[in-house]
Amino acid sequence: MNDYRPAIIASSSSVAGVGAIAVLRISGDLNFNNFQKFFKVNLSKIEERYCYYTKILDGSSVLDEILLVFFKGPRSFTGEDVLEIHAHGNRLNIKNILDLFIKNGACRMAKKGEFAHRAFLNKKISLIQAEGLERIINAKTPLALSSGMSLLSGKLNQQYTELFKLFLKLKSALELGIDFLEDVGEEGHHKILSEALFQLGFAIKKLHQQAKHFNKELLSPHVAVFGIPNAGKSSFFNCVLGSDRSIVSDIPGTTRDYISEYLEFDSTTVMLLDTAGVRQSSDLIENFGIKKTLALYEKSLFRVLVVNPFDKDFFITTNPLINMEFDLIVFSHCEDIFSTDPFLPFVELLKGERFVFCSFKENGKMGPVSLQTEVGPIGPVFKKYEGPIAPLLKKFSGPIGPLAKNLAGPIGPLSCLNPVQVSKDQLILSSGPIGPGCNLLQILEKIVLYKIGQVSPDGVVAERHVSVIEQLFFEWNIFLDKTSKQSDIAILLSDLVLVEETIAELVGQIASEDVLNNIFDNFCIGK
Amino acid sequence: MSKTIYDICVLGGGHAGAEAAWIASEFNLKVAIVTMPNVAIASTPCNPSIGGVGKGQVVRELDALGGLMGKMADLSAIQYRILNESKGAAVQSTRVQVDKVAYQENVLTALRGRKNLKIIELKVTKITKENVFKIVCENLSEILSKKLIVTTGTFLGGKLHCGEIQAAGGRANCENSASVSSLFQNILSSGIRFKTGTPPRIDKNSINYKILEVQPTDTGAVNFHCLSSPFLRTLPQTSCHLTRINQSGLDIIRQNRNRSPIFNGQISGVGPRYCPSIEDKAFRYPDRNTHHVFLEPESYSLNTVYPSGVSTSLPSEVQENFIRQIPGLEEAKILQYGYAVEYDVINTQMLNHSLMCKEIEGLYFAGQVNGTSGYEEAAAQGFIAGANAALSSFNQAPLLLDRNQSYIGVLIDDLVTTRRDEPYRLFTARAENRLHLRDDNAVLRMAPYRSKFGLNNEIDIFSRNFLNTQNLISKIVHSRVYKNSETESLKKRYPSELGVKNVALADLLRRPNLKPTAVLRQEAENDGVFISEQAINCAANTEKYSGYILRAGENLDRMAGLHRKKIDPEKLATCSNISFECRLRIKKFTPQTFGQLSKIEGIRPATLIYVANQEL
Repeated sequence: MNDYRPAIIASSSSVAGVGAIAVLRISGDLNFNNFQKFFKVNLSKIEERYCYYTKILDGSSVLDEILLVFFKGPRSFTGEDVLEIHAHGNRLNIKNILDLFIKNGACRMAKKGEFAHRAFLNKKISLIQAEGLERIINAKTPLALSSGMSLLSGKLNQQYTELFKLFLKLKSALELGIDFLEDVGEEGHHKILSEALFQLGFAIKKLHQQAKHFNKELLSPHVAVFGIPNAGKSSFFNCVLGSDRSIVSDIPGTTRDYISEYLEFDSTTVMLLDTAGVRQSSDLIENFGIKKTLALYEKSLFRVLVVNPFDKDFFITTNPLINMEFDLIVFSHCEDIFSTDPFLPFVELLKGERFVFCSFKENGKMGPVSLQTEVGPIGPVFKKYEGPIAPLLKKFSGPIGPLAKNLAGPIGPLSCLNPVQVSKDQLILSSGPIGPGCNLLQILEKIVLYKIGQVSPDGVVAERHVSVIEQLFFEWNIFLDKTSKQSDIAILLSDLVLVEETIAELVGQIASEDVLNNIFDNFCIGK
Repeated sequence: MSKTIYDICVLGGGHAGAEAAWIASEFNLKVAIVTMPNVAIASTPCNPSIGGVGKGQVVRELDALGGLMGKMADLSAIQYRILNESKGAAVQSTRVQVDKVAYQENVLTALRGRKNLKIIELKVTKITKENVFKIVCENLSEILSKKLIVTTGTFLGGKLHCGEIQAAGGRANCENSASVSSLFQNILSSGIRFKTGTPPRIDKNSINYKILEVQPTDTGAVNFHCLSSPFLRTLPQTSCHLTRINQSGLDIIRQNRNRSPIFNGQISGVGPRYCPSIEDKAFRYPDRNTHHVFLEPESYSLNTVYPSGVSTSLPSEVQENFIRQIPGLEEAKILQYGYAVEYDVINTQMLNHSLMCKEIEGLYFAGQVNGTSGYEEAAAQGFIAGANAALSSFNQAPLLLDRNQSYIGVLIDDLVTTRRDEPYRLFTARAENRLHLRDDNAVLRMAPYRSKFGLNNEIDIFSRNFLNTQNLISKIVHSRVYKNSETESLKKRYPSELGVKNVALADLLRRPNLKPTAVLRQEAENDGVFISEQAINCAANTEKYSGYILRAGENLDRMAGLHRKKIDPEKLATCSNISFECRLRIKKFTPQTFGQLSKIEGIRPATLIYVANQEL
């Protein structure tokens, strides 16, 4: 199952998209003849542990200017030959370079942790132990729980949970036939086992079909919009989608369950969710919706908070949203920002990566529209440090101090954390706060894709899921075939291990204690 | 006059104690069992049966190691059952109903037959250790012993519950002994309380057997004791009967919820989920309105019948009411009421794999006091503790059973490496190498351990012969390949099989549609080779499962090396390369091996990678 042949592997060792420079590594028994065509420098003449300034070549065109260091095995991190490439740290650039190597068959993409794995292999612990270690690590961070999880759509997430339950059910059903046959009886056992086999088989088949055909859809990260009732969540949602998908009204609590739409961003599909407003309510349906909303927060990759800075109801200490962290905070109702004092001391408490001020009032649209006028609510204000929204800033040092307290320097309404680290093309808005022609959808697209890039460089996660699901489907069919031929239940359980190992990669290891607990919880055992 | 100093003193005469004293006495040491007056040796105070799935394998392992239980069970058996007969040889087991009076007498006779073993009937009040253990008894006499094995079962701080009535006691009509902390002043304290229970006993003359389903004995079941003739029965065989408790009986229990000590808070100890009381069943499965009740005779010389499945601590009149709702028991006369017992258990993580206290040299614990349930589990621990106390008296290496080689090994390893919150019972599901831990090869698996004792008894000679025979048969299994000329007769013998042309015997043994034992016996006999059924059985199944065992073994190896890696929790708890949270958990759980570390919840992968990579 696991391929431990010393294939040549490559990967970016830096978190994509943040640094100005990213380090790429290629490890394996390197034959320079296969790599020469990608580098301007003559590889046969480079010395180990020296740094070379050279160019990456794709045919005749130059992809990037890089620094190259060669570590000869075993004097390297992995113990194998390693080429280290210091390239410009733009996500696209890294992807292009890696693609160049991989598509030409010079190497393959490294699995998660594979460099470290090889280091073990070559230096510290035996192969067999390294495999064991990987098992344990996989069990601790199965795909379903790994950082990539937030990338999964709710549907796939649910299916994984279901898969775990059904596998546990099948294993319990088999074990039941050995340790507790007297308790359930031969007939009862047969029924339980057939049901468990059918259900798990069905779930695996379904998962497999979907993984094959709807790969993109399954891996669509959640972008969820939160706020208290009537903050303008649905208006934001509609504004982004350009349709009246959510029912918008002035009556608080209109959106009781959540409403979702898929959005195509570049090559990535995201699911935009409009959630029920969070507030204390005696209405049962609404309370149920709120619970769901808080669960969605946990599951979402990208979290937007819509808040009306003039709404006293928001700034009460019992509001759970005040203490939560968001990727984007949208201040709605900013059209009145000149006349009324917003609740600034509280605004200061909000935790957000980026902020945007806007108004839904004009033509029902936000920012972009209002910004086209010279005296729009925000736009021009930030060019000087006084103006229409001066009262907002007066009490604090720095332009938008309260909102960007942790940030250094004056930043536009759409502020970026740590502008020092952000290169030009990652800045949300390079010219003007929300300049003309830049609509909310585009803003969202940029920052969502930026976040996805941080979590999952190069779509590796998606590929891993699909390939493990393929493997599972394969193992399952072999197992199913055996169930019809093998009457020895202990042998069947031994065969099930192969399915289990694959399932464990998705949902984590299932301990014998889990199985026994499941049996005790669901069956009346004991004479 | 100088006082006798025993080499090994066993405190308690239950299944663990009997087994410990028995094996220790084989080593020609001075051994004593100190047991409470008026408490029978090796009694079966709960259900009168020995063996079962997983447990039956333990009895055979014990037997092959030279233990007592298998032989005693055979001598006292009044019914045999083969369990999981249709599920494959690997998980097939034997269980017997024993005549509980005969069982006690047989064990007592066996122990009395040892000249170097003394049975002392005194209640112990205090234990101290100076150079040797000083065991102070109620009459203020003192017993001195170099090593001490504690097998006190449910007696330490034992408390009985029957409805509102509570009494101190280790079991019905028996006193209890002091609690752990008062018995082992300055040595040990406990704090963990477990609970178990037993059903009322019914007068067999008051049961209407005519309307009940009969469960006869299995004549094909093979005796536990490997030296005896496989199907020899000492006592006449009898049947058990099957009935059910129905809605009306369960309703009575449900109406009396607040009078049940386990539901009204009177009992705080934790009972086993796999052995629920009838109250548990009634409340935990409100939708089920029928549960099996097996009626098991306790002895030819007693009138009591054990109704398996209705363990209870409800008040006596409630017991009477619900029992009489059970078909066949309408007129039932209860001879002894059911009750629950709460007792002290020790934290077994303070023991090492030879069951000795890590902190106190020479002090061993075995049996129910270690938080296990079941006579077989107790006996196995008693044997391990007894053998190790004896071996250490001669400065010999301890007897440490590998969990991949025996259920006893699984039991001991689970006990000393994990913490449990309910009584522990063996299940085959706990054994990673289940396909190897079979009834048929128990002798083969135990022979290497037994031979290290350096004894030369009947069992040792038998083991050596058995090994030799296996080596011989294995030669036959692996050398024979059928020629083309034999194809026709082969086709006749195995009409269900395709492609028998040029097939190896080993291949035939592995085919799922054939019974390996029958195939091997027939093929060997065709060649004029006649070997005992036990040996054929072992060889045939060994071949059948060999591929699977090999595959599982590779899997186990992958994890085992790393899992066994020793780590230093103190050093790790202060290691700056490990996250604060992980350090807290390491401090709390003090894992000794990498395997234990990896099982702790909340330990991060980064920590594991770091630790795996450390030379500690």
